[in-house]
Amino acid sequence: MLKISDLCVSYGRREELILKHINAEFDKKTLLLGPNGAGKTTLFRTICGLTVKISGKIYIDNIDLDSVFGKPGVIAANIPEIFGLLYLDCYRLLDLYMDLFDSDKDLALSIMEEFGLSEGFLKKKKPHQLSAGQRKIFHNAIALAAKARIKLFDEPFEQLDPARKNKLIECLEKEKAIIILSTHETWLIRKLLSWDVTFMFEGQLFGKLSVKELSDSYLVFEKYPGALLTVETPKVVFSIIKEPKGKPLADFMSLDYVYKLA
Amino acid sequence: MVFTKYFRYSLRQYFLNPYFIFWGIIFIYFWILMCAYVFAKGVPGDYMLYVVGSDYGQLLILGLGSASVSAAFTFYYSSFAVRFVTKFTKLNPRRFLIENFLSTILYLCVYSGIIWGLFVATFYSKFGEWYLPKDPLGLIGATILSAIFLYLFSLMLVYFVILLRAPKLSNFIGYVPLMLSFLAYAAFWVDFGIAVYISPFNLISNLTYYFYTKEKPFTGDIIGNFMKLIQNETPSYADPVLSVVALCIWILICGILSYIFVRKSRGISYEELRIL
Repeated sequence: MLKISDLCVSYGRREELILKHINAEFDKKTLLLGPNGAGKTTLFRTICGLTVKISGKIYIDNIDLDSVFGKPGVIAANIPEIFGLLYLDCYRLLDLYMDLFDSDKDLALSIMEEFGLSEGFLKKKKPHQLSAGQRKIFHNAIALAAKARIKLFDEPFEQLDPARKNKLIECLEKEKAIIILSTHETWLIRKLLSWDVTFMFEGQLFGKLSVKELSDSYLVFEKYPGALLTVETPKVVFSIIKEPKGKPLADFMSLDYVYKLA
Repeated sequence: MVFTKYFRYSLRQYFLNPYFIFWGIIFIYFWILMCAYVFAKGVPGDYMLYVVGSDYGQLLILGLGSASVSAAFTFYYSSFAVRFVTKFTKLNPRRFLIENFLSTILYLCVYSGIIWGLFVATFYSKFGEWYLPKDPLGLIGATILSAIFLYLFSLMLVYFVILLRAPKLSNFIGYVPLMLSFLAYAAFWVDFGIAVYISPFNLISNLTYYFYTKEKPFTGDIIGNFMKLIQNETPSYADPVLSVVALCIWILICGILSYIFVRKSRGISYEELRIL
């Protein structure tokens, strides 16, 4: 289980908080839904140790992550910045990370192959020479193949074509680890029915619902009595409700539209 | 301790870096050819070993300066991935430090060996004689000390840029070792006097010369002092023991500063440096 307790993050000398007193527990596969700029990637980077927190704690199975060093099998992620250890071609980079994660290189290669990146192709290209979609597949595949209790996927569907999106959904469904998948795309709530959902707006987390509850829900821009969830931030107020009123949540496609329509 | 694949791939990255191959090998080899075929013309045979020793020392600092540029960029490039990797993979901080240090030192030492081999072979092809070092073990020791200094110096510079939160400076700062090498190269014409002990790059070339020839190195103005030697005048010498001590002090200073900078850099987030 991943537990986050009163986590605050700000960048450098800025006083404004990017993540504001986040408290959460993730014990099953969870969609982290939020518009661009909500702080989803910053949250992942903080969990991975790239971004410095100003207060709060992060625990995995009750172990404080601040005290974790040299422990493969705890966290894997598809965040590009964690793959910058050496400037190698994709094949060798994959070989290096699978060795460091104590994981199976052949499994990673077979996942890559399934998504259309052959071993020969990986040997010829460095990560920056891949297209945006290929780069996403490369990082997704390493995170999928790595042995870890918690896996963080930051916008894993971005730049992928529909066939590969479906294939990735199959892979994520088969995965045994606790996955936290950040995205602004609401169409996923029609696909990942067994998952939980948490919303993220302006550096704050809201609620924990099941995707099943959300799949036929509606969004109204007001505080609605008896709503499944109400999100209230300085910039936007909305409620997610069961009654057929407002706009179906899944029709938003991207949560970025919430601000446009508010 | 069994090394992870990081060690092997780190070495591979260093040696196959196109920048290193051009500036570190091809460019330096051009100057080796110039030394053997142009600058050494007319030097009496008895003095040739001194010419080889001083030319090798001077070109070595230029070469090591170029090689350090690759090391500095590698440190910068990996500075954030290291935070994740040392926590959530088997490459813990101690192991990372050992593998990173050893691969960089090995790279710089092997590179010095390559330059030395090219020097000796080129002078042999021109003069038909092998000009080998009089104290090979001392030369190896000086090379290792030089490599350690350059490792810590590059690390210190990179983490200084991170502390400044000035990623745009990283390109400039990566070239500082090379710029200082060129400054030390001026020792061919400029006598640094006592200042030679505060210039680590001059110390490196002086120690290389000393162990190559077993003659005291000059404080600078190599050409002028060389002429004085031929004309039986007293040149201005640097003390080899003091040079070793001075280089060790430099290593200590860079080591302490690197340690402080690396520790302080933990308080800086990736987002503050992502202009790159």
